[in-house]
Amino acid sequence: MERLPPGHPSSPYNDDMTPKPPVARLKNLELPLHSTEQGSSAANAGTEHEPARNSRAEASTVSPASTSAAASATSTLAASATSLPSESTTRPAPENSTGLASESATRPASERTARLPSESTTRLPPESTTRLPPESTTRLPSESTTRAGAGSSNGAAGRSRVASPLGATDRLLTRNILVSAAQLYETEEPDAVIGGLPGGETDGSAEGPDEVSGWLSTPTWADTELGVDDASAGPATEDGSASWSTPDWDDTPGWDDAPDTLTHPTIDADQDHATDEPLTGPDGSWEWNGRYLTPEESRIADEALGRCRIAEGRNVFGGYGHSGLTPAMRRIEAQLEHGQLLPDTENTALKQADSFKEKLADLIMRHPDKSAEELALDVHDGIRYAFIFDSEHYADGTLQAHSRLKGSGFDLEVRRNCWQGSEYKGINSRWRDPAHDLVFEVQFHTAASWDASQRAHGLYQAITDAGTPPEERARLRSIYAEMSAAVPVPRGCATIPDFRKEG
Amino acid sequence: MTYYAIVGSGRTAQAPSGLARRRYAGRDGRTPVDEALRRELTWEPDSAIVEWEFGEVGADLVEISEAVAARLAAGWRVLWDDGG
Repeated sequence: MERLPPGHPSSPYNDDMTPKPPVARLKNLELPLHSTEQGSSAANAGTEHEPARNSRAEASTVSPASTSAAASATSTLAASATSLPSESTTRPAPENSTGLASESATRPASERTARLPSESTTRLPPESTTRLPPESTTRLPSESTTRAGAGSSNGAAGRSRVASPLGATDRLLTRNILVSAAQLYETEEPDAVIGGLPGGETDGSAEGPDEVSGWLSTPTWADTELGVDDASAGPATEDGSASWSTPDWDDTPGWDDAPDTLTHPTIDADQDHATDEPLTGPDGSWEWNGRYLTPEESRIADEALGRCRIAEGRNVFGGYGHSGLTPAMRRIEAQLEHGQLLPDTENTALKQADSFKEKLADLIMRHPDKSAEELALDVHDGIRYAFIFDSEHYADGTLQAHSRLKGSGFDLEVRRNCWQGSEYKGINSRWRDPAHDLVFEVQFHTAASWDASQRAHGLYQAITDAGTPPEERARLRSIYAEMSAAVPVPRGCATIPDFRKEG
Repeated sequence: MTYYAIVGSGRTAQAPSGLARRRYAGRDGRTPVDEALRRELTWEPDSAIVEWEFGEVGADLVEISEAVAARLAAGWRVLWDDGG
């Protein structure tokens, strides 16, 4: 610089050889930090990756601003941390909060959620925990859980229904799950039938899942490894006219002319909600809706459900890989010329834990010559799928799906064609997955039959409730039949016979 | 009265895992009342028959005579009394 000619822009001298003022350095333009912030920054500088050693001491002096700043290092936790500033000032930060922040940069969000400590979990927004498996609410046991010892191989003896001091008829009349006939006919909200049941899950019946919210929902499959896009896979009709948002059953002949099923009776399933919460005792016993499982039986159910969970295919991160039944079903769906799985299959395929236990409790009473272990493996709808076809292609589509299922290595054990009956419409089948050695259910519907089964699900639950008085059951069945009569029978469906594998 | 063998997985109608029956009651004697045999060898209300009629694919129901049902129940009584 000294050798540059005077007047040069970079020369330290002016044209008159007088020295230029020294160049200002940017760091000298910064304002000094406040004294307390300087101390805090110094402390943080040395502890950024060592939360266990210093976070407790730091927590006592940490300010809301600094807490938010630390939390902002991870996008996952930022929202929740800043949404609770007052809490941050009054309670110590989680010991591993800094660790979570650093971990979040390299781990998938779902894994981070699964690894969060309990205190951190409470700070997450609700959607962050929706993929965690549902668990029964643990409560103190009520007196009603007490029963006589089983004294039998499957523990069926002395169950609440059987052990009731009331006679059979008395117990039927004291059931309180049904509204009166007059109330039934006055109800006009069809949604109560469809989705108003506790837990939003079926009882493991032959009918499909009662959650219909998935009709318009976006399946999680798009996020999976295989990346099957339902939007593109969507309506599998040749002309592309059918879709989930505009089901073609609206156009089917006779449907619009059918009796107005929307004003048919509905069941207020929430009536007993306060007393129908599943209860898990401290000893591990379980009860719900008049059913009871001993601690051992409840453990057996949990193990069986665990097997189903593994077989279904969802991984610990909440997504799917190549293995498992649901990915296999999606591959089969992609091979079909017509028809598709329910759009929310990933959310409905696996039976909820309490419904699984309810089913097992029924089976234990109904099959006294089988052990609870055997019966837990007989819960055929622990995993359930439903394929929907338009009426035109129902029969050949159903057979094609059978062919693909067999081609994928699954064994057909039972098929029931219920189209000729007066009540339930559809084809139900039971398959065995040799890889996981368990059974699962596949239903084959038209959009109309599926819709009817969902609308009538509340009726079905009342009809199959052992506590429903026989006269009431008969009346409800006639209503169900009236609703089903409006479902068009697809051409050629009668050619698909019932089947039961020998042995 | 109609009796059914409840044929669970791996069982046969000759060796079922349960029994169900439908009898008729009511003023006109035409209202079906469904029951199943419990471990205590008592008949209790049960929806196995209705579920089967609605397409249940878990267990099969096979109609049997009352005599066969009685024989099966008698066999279970012996078996279960022996702690089986």
